[in-house]
Amino acid sequence: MVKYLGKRIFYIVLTLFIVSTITFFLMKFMPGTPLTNQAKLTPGQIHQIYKQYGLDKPVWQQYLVYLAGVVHGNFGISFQFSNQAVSYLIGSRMGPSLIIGGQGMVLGVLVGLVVGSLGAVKANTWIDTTATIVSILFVSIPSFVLAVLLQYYLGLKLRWFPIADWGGFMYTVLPTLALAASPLAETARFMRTEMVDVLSSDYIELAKAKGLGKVGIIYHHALRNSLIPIITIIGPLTVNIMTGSMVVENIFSVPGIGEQFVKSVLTNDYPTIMGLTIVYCAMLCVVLLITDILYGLIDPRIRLSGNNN
Amino acid sequence: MVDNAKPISAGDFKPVSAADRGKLDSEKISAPSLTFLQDSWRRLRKNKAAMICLVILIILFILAFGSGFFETHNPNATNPNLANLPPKIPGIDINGFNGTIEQSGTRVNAYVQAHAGNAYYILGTDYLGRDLFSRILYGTRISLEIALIASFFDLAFGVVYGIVSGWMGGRVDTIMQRIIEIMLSIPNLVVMVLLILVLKPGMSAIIYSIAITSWINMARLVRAQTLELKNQEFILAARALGESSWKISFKHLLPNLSSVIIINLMFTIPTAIFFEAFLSYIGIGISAPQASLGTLINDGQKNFQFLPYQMWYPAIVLSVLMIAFNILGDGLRDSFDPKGRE
Repeated sequence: MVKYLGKRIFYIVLTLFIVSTITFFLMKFMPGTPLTNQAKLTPGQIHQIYKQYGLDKPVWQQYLVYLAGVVHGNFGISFQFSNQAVSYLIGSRMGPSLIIGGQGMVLGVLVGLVVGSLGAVKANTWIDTTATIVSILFVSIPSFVLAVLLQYYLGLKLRWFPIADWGGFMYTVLPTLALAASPLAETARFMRTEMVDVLSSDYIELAKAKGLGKVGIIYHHALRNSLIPIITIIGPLTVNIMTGSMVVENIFSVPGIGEQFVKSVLTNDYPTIMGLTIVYCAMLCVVLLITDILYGLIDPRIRLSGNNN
Repeated sequence: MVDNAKPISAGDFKPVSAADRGKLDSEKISAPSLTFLQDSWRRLRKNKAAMICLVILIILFILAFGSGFFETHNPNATNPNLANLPPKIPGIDINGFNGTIEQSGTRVNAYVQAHAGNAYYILGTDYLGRDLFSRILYGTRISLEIALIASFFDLAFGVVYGIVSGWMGGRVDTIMQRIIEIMLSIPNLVVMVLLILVLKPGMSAIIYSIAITSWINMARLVRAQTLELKNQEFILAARALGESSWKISFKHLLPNLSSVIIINLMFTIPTAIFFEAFLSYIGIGISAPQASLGTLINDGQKNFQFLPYQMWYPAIVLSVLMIAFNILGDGLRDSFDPKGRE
């Protein structure tokens, strides 16, 4: 276990190192400098500003300085947003993203589990058909379309929830719903397949032969065993939530990192883009590591030996 | 017991004619033998939803790529006098398609107000007076082009990567798998955004970014399947007979991988379409004045409260595209792997 953990953490660090290196050099290849109105500045002023941002040093020194900063959680200073430190910018925006992302994930997975298992238990009935249609619709309709529709009908027409901005719990409802659609659909699809498999296995036959009630069989045997593989799709679902949050946060003006990422992309705020890229990767790596460990703990048949097969 | 059997004479027998001989063969297989693909196609044809989606996709393909022949308006031509006109189809008098629009409680004919004369736009115009129908067709064409490009890279790169990694094994496999693991721990969208920033937004940047991100899943699945096939007898036989690795992978591996490849392809396509629309939606994809379903939805969303058709139509087309590819993908998976559904 310790050996496995060590190996995994080593790979995470390696991945983050490669990602920061690639983003650093990509950004160095980009045309333009942080100085928007260079013509009006004297060479002395330009030199001074370059010195302030550390741009007067050769590229390899800038790279080392940058790497040292990343290790300490310092991603430099934002070009656009009133010279704030990128790490402060990200840190202050992390909360809302984690809240709506977490809520969306939990809601989506829970409802998806129910929809998926209903579909499997009542296979080939109208319930199954409805569950399939719901999951196909939610997996296909892009999050940005769904978010706008939710905002218009539940927010503007029915006035159940605030249409945008950030405040209490009520403000998180619509973004959460918009984000939950994709995990809901994926979980339901996956759960249905798993559950159908489990329901046709020998130990379910045995439980039936023992005379257990239908609810008991489904709750004690089928549900628990089909839940295990669901852990493996948590990683991909996290990616979906991250992708979705970029537009959903924009549409509902949630002050989160997704909104910040899009804003920085549109304004060429390179240090913030680099910082957020590394943060996204780190979050995904940690989620993947946790799900792998959980999978090993819950299902003892899978050994954490360090190699994949 | 009385033996009442008739005596047999030579006249009771006659030689079997050539025509009768065929009927007598009990070993003969009466149904035509089907290849793997024919068999899957037969199963797919029974899946009504998948067939409907296939037809919808074919129609969309024809409409989008043939749009040059019947589009009545130039998708990029602006006409500020005729901006924001609602849909109007001559001869149809249903609210929503007759060129009228709700303005402060009463329905007014927007075409008369704009002095549009005999002009009509079957899906209306956008805020610059561009024909929405032509723009949607153009955007659909971009989406489908992206779909084709993504499939090409999936096949050309993903499949080859998977086969090489699985077939070679050993150190090559380890290194190739590490590369994939690193790629997997970066969200695809982030890779795309970084590339697009470096390459300047536009169609080619989207193509490159899809090329870099779309093949990974395919490579993993193909590798897993190759590892399984590699140790089977027919591959061993081919190797024992001295076939080259190239020939084995083309003649023996590829046909056996075809179901995995086709199924996964059908799931790459909606993902690629989604990413293009997504990037265009946030404003770093296809740039103005060209239309993409993503930019159309973004434009339409600003006016959604007053001119809902401007977002509904592109959103419906995009959703139908995605739904059709997803259902067709599900149908193909069931028909290639029939034990999954029953």
